[in-house]
Amino acid sequence: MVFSSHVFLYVFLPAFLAVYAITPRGLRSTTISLASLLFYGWSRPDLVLLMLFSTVLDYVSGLRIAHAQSRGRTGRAWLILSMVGNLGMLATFKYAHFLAQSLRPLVHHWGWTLPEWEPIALPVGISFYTFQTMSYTIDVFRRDVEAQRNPIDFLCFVTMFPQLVAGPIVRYHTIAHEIRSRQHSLSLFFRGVLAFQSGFAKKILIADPLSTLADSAFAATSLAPGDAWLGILAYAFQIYFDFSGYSDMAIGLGLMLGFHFPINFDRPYWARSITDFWRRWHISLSTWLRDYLYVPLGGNRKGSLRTYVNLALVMLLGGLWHGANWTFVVWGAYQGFWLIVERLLAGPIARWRFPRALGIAWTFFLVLIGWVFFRAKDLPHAIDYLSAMFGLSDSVGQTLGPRPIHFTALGVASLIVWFGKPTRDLVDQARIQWVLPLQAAFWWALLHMDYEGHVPFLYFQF
Amino acid sequence: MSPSSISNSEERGGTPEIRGAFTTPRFLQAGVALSFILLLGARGVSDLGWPIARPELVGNERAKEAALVANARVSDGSLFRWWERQWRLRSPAASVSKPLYSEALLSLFKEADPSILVGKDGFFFQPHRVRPRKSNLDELVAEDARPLAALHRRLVALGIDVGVALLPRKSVICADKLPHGFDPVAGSYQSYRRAFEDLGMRVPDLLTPFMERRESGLYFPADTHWSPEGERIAAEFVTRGLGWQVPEAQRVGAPRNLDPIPAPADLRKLAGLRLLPHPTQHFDPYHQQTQFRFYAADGTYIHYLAYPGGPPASLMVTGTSYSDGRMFPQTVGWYCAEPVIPETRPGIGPILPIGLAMQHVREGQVMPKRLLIELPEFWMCCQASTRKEISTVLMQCPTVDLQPIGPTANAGGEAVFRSPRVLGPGIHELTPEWKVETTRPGKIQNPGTGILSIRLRGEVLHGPAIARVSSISAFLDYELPVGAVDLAMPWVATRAECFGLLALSSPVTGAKIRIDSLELVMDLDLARAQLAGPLPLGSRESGWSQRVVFSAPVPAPRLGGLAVFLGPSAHSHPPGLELILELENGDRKRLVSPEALEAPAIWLVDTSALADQVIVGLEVRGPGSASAGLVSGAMIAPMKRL
Repeated sequence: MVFSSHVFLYVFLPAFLAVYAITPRGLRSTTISLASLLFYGWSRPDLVLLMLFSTVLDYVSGLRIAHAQSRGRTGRAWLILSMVGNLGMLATFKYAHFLAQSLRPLVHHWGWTLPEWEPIALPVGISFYTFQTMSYTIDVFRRDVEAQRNPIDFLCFVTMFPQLVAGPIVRYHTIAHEIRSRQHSLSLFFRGVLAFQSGFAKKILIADPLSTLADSAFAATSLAPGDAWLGILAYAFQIYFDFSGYSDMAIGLGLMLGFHFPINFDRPYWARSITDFWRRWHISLSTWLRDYLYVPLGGNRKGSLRTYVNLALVMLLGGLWHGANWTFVVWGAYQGFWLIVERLLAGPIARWRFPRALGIAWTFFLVLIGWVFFRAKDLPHAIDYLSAMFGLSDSVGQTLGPRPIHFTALGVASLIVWFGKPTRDLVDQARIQWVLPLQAAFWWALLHMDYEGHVPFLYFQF
Repeated sequence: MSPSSISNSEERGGTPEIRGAFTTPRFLQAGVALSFILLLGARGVSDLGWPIARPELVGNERAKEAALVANARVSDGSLFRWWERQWRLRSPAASVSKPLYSEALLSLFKEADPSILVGKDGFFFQPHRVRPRKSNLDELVAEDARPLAALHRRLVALGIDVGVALLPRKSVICADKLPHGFDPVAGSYQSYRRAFEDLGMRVPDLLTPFMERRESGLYFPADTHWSPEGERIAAEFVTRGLGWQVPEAQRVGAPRNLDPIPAPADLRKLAGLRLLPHPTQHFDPYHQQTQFRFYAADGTYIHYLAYPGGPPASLMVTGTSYSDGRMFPQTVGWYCAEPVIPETRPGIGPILPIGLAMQHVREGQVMPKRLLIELPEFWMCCQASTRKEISTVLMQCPTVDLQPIGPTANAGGEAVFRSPRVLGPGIHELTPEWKVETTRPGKIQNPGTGILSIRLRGEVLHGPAIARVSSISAFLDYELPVGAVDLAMPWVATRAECFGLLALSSPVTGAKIRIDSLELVMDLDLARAQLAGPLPLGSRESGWSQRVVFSAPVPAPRLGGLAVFLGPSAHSHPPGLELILELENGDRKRLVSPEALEAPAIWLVDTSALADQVIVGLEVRGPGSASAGLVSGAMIAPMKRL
């Protein structure tokens, strides 16, 4: 089930909120868990079992680690078991076929053969909930949090439908106290509604119309430079409004239920450098990678060279997290390269005192180039697209034929990205002059969804 | 709890700190929260209780989707499918809001849903049916009339009473309902009618009686098709104009459930057919009709449609069905038991079946006493100039991944392969939705009447899968069981028709298909590739041959090659089928098929060795007894592995 579907908006959500409101406090986590299982199993009931496996594995691992530590041992074996189980699931469902296909030529060169590995359909949200459960077990191992002994509460943490399938990645310590006891109030619920409405409007009114333009651009085998730039610009806004829209809706739903999820975006296209960009884009993933990968690798504590290696490694894995494709690997490497360059040139850049606008423009340009790799279906496609952007393509360009609605969406998106208030301000301050236009946008988006349908959320595929 | 107590800091991973004042008064907070829950819930409750009463109000696309869902052959048991089946269309709110919203968008952007123009008084039009052809009308009328006249002559020579129903456009009849900015157009109806009549065809005038009765509600407002009254008028004037008598018949009434409507006895007598249970027997909620099929022993079936508002009964002969589920795609004609009733119903067809109609008649599979060829005027006079609008319709499919499969010869563009989920190189997940498909918005447009073919090779890894070849007005399904797939799907197309080409799906979730190659073949225009002489009817004996001479010489393709279409036939061709290419320099290049070909088949011939040579014709010789015939030679697009 997706947030922007008929069944979720008009049946599931009102019914769930009504049931939740009349459920005694002690049973509310149970209500959330059951609703989440229905939400997740709506189209593929069998995949619920996979998620339950991950839940049970980390619930047991957490308890055993805590038990071992109470007796003076580390519980490392249970941590390893959890990591192997979760990463094994990811490897099996997400990367096995890719690895087999990538290694086959190499192995064949050595005279060996690899068995055929049939690809498996990627379970929705697996990358998100495995990262969540892993962070829980690691935090218990580090003694940052206490192990959760109530299985229902732990199930609630893992399966919580607002952020289950496309993030933000909620770490256990963020909401541990709220799972046990959380407050509900009109103002909190109201803020949740605003956040949900804002995300929904961003998704339906901006991201979806732009998707047709971006899809057309990346479907074309040759494009005029202007159209190629238009296409990648449309994609840059599409992915931002799509993903941040989903995050806003998730945060809003969380607030309605009394949870405070971390923000996932902080005006990323305002970034003055790639380093700054990664502080603002998919924050829950970048902080996860920082805390559970970069820092354990040594971070910046072991000298410059090791710092650069760590940065490159983290960004490569971050790219690979998005999907089993060389395009994501290159995208991650590209991001890592610029992080290293910026670190190398940090001194001169600070002395030169570039205007802020120049930094923002340059960073946006670099991000756009990166999105080409992210969106292309394979590396030759990405190279072809980049060639078209820079007028290096030999073939005659096709015309995209953008419609007025595309230009309108691009214009509105630009205004919001560079001149608008961030959603968190909108929600936190809830000024009356913003609330009413937001209501109009939400109900308009509902009309538009009836009319045009909706495009699947991009981050569902990761 | 006051807002100021929400104080998780961003650094700790919580929501950001509250900054600034919280100025919305509590009554407004309560209002927003309550309206959010109550209005969404009310919409859900109302949708759940809404019967499928007037689906046309929700729009063509939704209705077609619902028809697919309603007719899904296999349920996979998921809640998603259950929901789609039960509740998808039942929205009074959407039926009210959609036309209004469409109108608002139109006024705002001058283009709303590109598939719909919203006119006055709630009238819908389709953009590609509205605009007139700009220039060289006489030349194009003659070009369109020529192949139709050729078909007409052959049919008349076979003793078939032929009539042509030229259908006027809604935008002409209901010109006063066109939206602001769209001037009424005179159309080219009478030009076409005169041209056809000059060539000896009988074309009853429907424009005049329709114009005279334009206030009688001849079209559904929110649809592009005739109302029951429009169908009645059309039937009356077509049959009167052709001198055909229509028997009085009782209308069957609106179907209340999914039970098939009993067929009159005289229909079953036709050709000794019997009604067999078949999974395609279904109720179509959009067109409010029940369809089922009669099968004869030789595999021929007649597709019967009963619908409450229109003519009492009509028959659509769609061709030959084969044991493995393949069949030739096109509508050949529409019949009633006796006499012929004009086909006046919206939906699947008709498509001008020049090529295959001839073949069916030659094969003796179809031998009607009377045949009515239905020809909507807008196809000929409108579509060639409206590629952009049509292309945008095709772009409505939600897509994630697009992969080119290479340019199409003679098609003026390229096809792409859309897939919602790519599991690996060439491997795609299929779902009950029609989401994996080839299409190229605005580019796949046949330059003339001819044959398009798609050949799919690969393997269904988990299935079954269903392949659908489709155009904007018709489709044909092939069932693909688990295992290797080598499927050639021929398709006759008319001028300027746009293709959705190929869609893959599965009635079960989690199905997977590996696509090794997907070839798109566009025929030479049949107006240029002419058959050298009349062909004998019935089965061919050992040593049969057929020859095709191209009126316009064709350079041998450097990439790809030639495709030879064989069929229709229920038999396979033994190895050793000969193809002789006649070159411009007088040489004859002889090629022999290496393996048996099961008709209908496409024999792909590599012509890369003939680069720079020009082909002026070709001949096919059959080595053994087979019921088969050469339909056409075709250019093959360069192939690219997915």
